[in-house]
Amino acid sequence: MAYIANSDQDRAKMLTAIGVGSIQELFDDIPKSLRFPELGLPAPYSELDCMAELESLAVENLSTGAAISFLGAGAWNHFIPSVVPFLAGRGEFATAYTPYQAEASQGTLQSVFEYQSMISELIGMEVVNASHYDGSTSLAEAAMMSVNVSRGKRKKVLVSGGVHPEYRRVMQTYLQAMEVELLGINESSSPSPEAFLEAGGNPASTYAGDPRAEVEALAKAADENTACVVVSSPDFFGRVIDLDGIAEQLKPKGVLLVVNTEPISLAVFRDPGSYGADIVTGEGQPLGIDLSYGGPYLGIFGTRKDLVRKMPGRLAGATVDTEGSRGFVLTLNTREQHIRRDKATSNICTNQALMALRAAIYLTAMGPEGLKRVAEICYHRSHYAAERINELPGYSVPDLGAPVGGAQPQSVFFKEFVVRTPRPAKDLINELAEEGIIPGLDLGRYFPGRRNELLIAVTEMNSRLEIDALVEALEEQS
Amino acid sequence: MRKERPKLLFEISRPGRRAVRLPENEVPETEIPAGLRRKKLTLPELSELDVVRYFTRLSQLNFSIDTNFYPLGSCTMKYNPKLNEATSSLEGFSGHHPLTPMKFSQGSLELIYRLQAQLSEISGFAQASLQPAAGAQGELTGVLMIRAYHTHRGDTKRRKMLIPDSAHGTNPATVTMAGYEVVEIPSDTEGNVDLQALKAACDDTVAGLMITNPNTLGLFERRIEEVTKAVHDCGGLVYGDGANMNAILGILRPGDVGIDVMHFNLHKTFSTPHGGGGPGAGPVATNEKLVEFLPGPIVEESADGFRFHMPKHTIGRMKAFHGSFGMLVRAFTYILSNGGSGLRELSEIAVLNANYLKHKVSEVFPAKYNRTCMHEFVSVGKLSDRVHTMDVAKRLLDYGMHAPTVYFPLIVKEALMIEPTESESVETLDEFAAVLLKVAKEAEETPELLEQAPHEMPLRRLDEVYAAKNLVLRAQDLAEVEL
Repeated sequence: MAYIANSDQDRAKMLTAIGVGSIQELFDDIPKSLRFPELGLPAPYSELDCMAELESLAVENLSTGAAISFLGAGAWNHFIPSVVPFLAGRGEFATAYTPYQAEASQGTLQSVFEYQSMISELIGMEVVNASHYDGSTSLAEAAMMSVNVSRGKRKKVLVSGGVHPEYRRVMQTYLQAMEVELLGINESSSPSPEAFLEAGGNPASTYAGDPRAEVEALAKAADENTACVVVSSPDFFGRVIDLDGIAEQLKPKGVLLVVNTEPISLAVFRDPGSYGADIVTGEGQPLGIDLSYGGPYLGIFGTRKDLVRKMPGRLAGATVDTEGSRGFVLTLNTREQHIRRDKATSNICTNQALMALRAAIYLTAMGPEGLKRVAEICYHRSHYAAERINELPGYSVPDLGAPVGGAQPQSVFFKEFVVRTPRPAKDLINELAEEGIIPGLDLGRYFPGRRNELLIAVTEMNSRLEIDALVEALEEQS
Repeated sequence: MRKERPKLLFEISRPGRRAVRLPENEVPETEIPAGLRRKKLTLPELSELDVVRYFTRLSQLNFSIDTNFYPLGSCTMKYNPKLNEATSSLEGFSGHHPLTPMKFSQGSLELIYRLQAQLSEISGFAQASLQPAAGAQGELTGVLMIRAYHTHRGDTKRRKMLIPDSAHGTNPATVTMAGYEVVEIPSDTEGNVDLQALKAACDDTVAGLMITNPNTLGLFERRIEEVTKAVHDCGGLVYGDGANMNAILGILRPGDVGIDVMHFNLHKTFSTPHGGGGPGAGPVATNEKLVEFLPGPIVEESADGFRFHMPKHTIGRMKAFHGSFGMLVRAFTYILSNGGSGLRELSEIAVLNANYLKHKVSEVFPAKYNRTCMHEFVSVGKLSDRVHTMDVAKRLLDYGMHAPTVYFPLIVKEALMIEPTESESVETLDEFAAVLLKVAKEAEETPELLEQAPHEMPLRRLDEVYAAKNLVLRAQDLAEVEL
């Protein structure tokens, strides 16, 4: 076997050295009747056969490389510069482990420190940790941290309807044992998991109004039993929300403001820190990380410096060696599970180091001008697409301020927007996908009442030609 | 190893440098409202070569499996096959959007379905969910499932989770997150769970037991069936921490000895790269009792092909989308490459290598428990009043060997936990043993050599206390502290 070095002769020599007759004897501690079960698995594949088998599966997917795709909703098709996979793929990074021995792990530790530095700048928070599993678990841990900041006394978390429905579901999983209620506007109690699923994901699903008004309502509803208010900007529907004055309303009540964000938007839009957010989370996948059917991704997590000891997750910090040279170590370990055990801030014991490295390489390669350019292209092209689609008979884009069903105010969106469709979005998608165009997400997937709506994402990967092709294809379906 | 103190990005950044050429906008511009616009963004500015050289040099400051022997106990630092990287990089997977309609995602869905079945087969369980992103998240999943099971039956007085004192710190931390109390169970003189103490702790307030088998001492729980029976008899369930699964592939199926639910560390047992601390993947498998509580979605086969579904009483989602999919592709590739017979051989040689190394170092670093070990063993690294385990660890780095895990498990003072894995040749094991013995000799003759180690690394020993005191967590704060 290619993954084992020792030959039969080596094995015989080793057994002699330890004075054991056979390898089987090493397993005498294992219950005899259950020892060495026959596994119902196929015989080993050759490297060629293995590659062929995986290739045959991979081609069954309609990937972004094979289609013109406008899917977003928490994972976006962004350009990844060649240097990112090339450098992050180096075995010295990929096949190292957690930097327990700092002197033999300066590559990993310094890259994490660079990641923390650049993300801190981007999201406007003083402290950024070495990352969580993805945007959803970052947000769930932020809610838990908020409860812990109140020493477990505050038992309510208020969540905006603009938070990704899957994120809200993950928060519910994480908080189910803490007896904390997750509430949206107009919700008097947390739904049970079953009810939540029956509702198609999000009980606040009908909410489609002015996002700023909703956040203000949440801030007003927050009381002395509320640990935090959780908002998303850009939100699940792509809308950028003006959060001016919200933190100021929450502060006197001792309520934390948790903002989930999208990192590329922050090259052109104000960072959550500038609005006084206490905890900022986000999905880091747009920063040079493959779509890869949903993972592995990168959970961004930042907070204020005075809350650092309550923050879950690893941290790299600068220090000196015995000769006074600068170096990096994991620090504030006393918050963590391997020291504090049942008193730890979280059970998290790793980070997404390789994904954080990809983000660090991506941001370095892009630089301030490059990242800004990507953000501007997303912004301009998504508006171009929205305006063209809004002109099509039967379609409308509410965020452009179209007078559909009353007074829908105009919203600012970054790279995603909602389109009302003349037919169920699911049917549109299925038909267009056959032609190689995935026009977006069927909102009915999460919100039963919104089956005639598409969520469309436009990035720098969608040329004007692709947008025009989408517009034409939608027109034919109207 | 390269001896240098690499600068930070902001120290080599120069205004106006660019590393990426981006396209034109191509469409009419739309104004960004002034009140929402960002004023200033400071990021490094480098040429493409600067970027390549900077990160390449950083990489050269790491020890890794590809460059060094890495016997880090409990972490299973086995070879990470390059084929796995090739398959997971196929554009059909890497470029597959997670919200693509199921009809156009049959390749990924089939892979998930088959991996669910493979992991269930290997472990002796009815069903697996590939949702959890890491081992610790797998633990949380399992304990939440146990909690949901009891709650569903209206059995709400069970508040305690039993945990052996040799357990990983994630176990008790998980129990707290799941709203339970930890009850620690001592180990007996053979390094196994103290059965008497366990039985005494079992009553109708016990939700379950979390057990790692082989345990963190690298020892198999000889009376595992009695252990699980004691817990079942009082109405509790047994969680299996799969951290040490690399010792028992094709040797024993945890589901056959009374474990009710367990997680796998795909980044240990199934060779997905550790990535400098992640990403990993921590799928969970379970028996019929708990199948309907699994996190979802999981994939099932139907007349229309493969599709997602949510178990009836699911504890919910553990993360957005469908698990750490890229890691799943790698693990699936690894299982296909090895087949059933190959997996058993991996575990056999992992155990042979550990026992051989244990024998080779036994004169100076005898194993704490003198038994046949599984895939790893625990010795004591302290050599004298002056020379501690940490000094031995740091000195090993000078010889190009990554240190074993140190000071864990907590029940062995000054622990040195060594896991060679099946990947390593007998020559590498001999060399490591020789280096360890040489270091022990140095400890006797020139203890200061160890106390001041490392000497040959890019940096000398780093001051962790200084880091915790000064808390410089980003380049922006460097100006405040002189570093």
